[in-house]
Amino acid sequence: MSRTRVRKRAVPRASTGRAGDARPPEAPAPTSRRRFLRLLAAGSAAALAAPLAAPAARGAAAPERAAPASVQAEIRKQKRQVTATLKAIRAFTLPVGSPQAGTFAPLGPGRRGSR
Amino acid sequence: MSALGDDVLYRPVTELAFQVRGRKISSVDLTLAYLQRMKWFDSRLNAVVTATSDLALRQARAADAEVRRGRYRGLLHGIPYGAKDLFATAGIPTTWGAVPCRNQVFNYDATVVRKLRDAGAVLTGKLAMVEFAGGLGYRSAGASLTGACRNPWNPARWAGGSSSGSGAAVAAGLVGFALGTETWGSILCPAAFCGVTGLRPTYGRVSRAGVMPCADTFDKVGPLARSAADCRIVLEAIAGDDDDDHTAASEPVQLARGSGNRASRLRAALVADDFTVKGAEPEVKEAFGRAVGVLRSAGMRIEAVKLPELPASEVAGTLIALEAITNFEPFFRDGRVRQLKDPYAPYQPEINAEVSGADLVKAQRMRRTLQERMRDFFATYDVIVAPNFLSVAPTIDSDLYRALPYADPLGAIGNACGLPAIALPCGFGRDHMPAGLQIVGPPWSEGLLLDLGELFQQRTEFHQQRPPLRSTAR
Repeated sequence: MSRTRVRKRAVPRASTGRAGDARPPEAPAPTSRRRFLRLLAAGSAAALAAPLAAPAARGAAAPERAAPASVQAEIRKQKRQVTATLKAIRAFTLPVGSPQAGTFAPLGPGRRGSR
Repeated sequence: MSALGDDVLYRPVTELAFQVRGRKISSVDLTLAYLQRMKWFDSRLNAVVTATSDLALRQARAADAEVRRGRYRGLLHGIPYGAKDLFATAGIPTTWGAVPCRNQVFNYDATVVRKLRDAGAVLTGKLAMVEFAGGLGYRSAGASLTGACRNPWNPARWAGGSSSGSGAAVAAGLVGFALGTETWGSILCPAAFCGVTGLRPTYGRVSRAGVMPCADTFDKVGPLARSAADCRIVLEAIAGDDDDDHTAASEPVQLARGSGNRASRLRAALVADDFTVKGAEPEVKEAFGRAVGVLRSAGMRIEAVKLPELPASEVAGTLIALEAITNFEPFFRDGRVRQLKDPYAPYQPEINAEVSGADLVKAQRMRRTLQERMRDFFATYDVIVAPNFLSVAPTIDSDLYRALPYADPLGAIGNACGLPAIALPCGFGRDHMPAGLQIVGPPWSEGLLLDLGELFQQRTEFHQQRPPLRSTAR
């Protein structure tokens, strides 16, 4: 559940969306059960195989031109910082049975006809 | 033109409210005076993105009419304020401080804007901020749609971020109070650099419906104002649950003065950051030391301790980076991210691509472990007292990575655990720039933190100091 209701999305003036649209213009079509299962299977495999951030990286429009040398140097530096950060996280020992991150709870049935 | 002078405009909400209610000052006169002051000073400060003059005067006239009819909504009735430019305001641009959103207009108000309107407050302006609240990183003060927000104490220095305009506008007397947000440091930093009082509430204390999402599990809404007493008034108006934000807690809002224990019964943990690190300034250390002395003289037991050892900065940094990348994904997808002023923002997915799913889940579990350790910590100590920043505001042309090179372990812990904190001005450092302290408490302890803030401000006058602003337009 998003913290802003769907109808409360930002509507830039240049957007093709109408203010107050129930669904943003880029929203996908409702997912069929077959499509959902295909996605689920693909998602499970991807989660096992690929770094989590990779989809975001793939989905991102690549910078148009090669970055200037100074920017590239800073990017390398920031990547090294991420590596150092991950080293600290990976080195930390969480005991078996440490608490889970979030509380998962099944959602009860909604009212008939509600979204 | 209004005849109200600086002395009136710098008065705290507690005093202005008394005068509006007693019809000694009209809300219209107050609003006109703040708008005039905005006009005089903002070209030098860059604190305001949009002055909402028409709306403000409509709201002020309505507030005055209600007072005349004997309807008084409370202490914010007729008081002008500014909101960081990431709160949705119907029909008024909400730019998120970012070039690609410069024409963005919502058709509704954020919940907190509506709550302030219902309390009778008058919105006079949308205030400057770092682009996307710094969610995609930034290393210069200029990473904002409106350019670097300048510090009223010295316009050659930065106002802090990401709620830059909120801090600067309060310090410069352009508004009665302001709204800001914090993901990690965005209320405390401008409060420290501008010498104003800021309150970062507990995660979930204030609804974020209609607020730009940066890192959803970290974002908080809070006031910046002239005093702890003013922050209490604003927080009372905006706190509480909200059907439009499932993370807004139903925890009872208990902010009444005196809700906490007497200072003499409190046990505080002193986290005196290492002032030998690069970038720390001895003048700030001295100001902080004197502030601790003030709290001790009020009867607080303050003991030097170490915070629980856990890589909190790494956990918070990783989670914020990934949450922000996913929130702003549409801007990466269509290339608008390249319009941002920070040249490294477009590369954040690439920079963070090494983070695996396992890393993310582990960081989340570590966050939970950190929360439990802090819960144990607060079983022994009521609050944590620490310096806010270790140095004063850097110059606006600084490379912020170099100008502010020291770590912020308490900021990481506080934001990772969703803990409330109050930022209080506590003196001056180099070039007579403000220095500040912070007091952090366990979840839902805002009432206690505000009590302590008021206690400190009853014994000091730093919150009443005004920057030496001079307008060439007068």
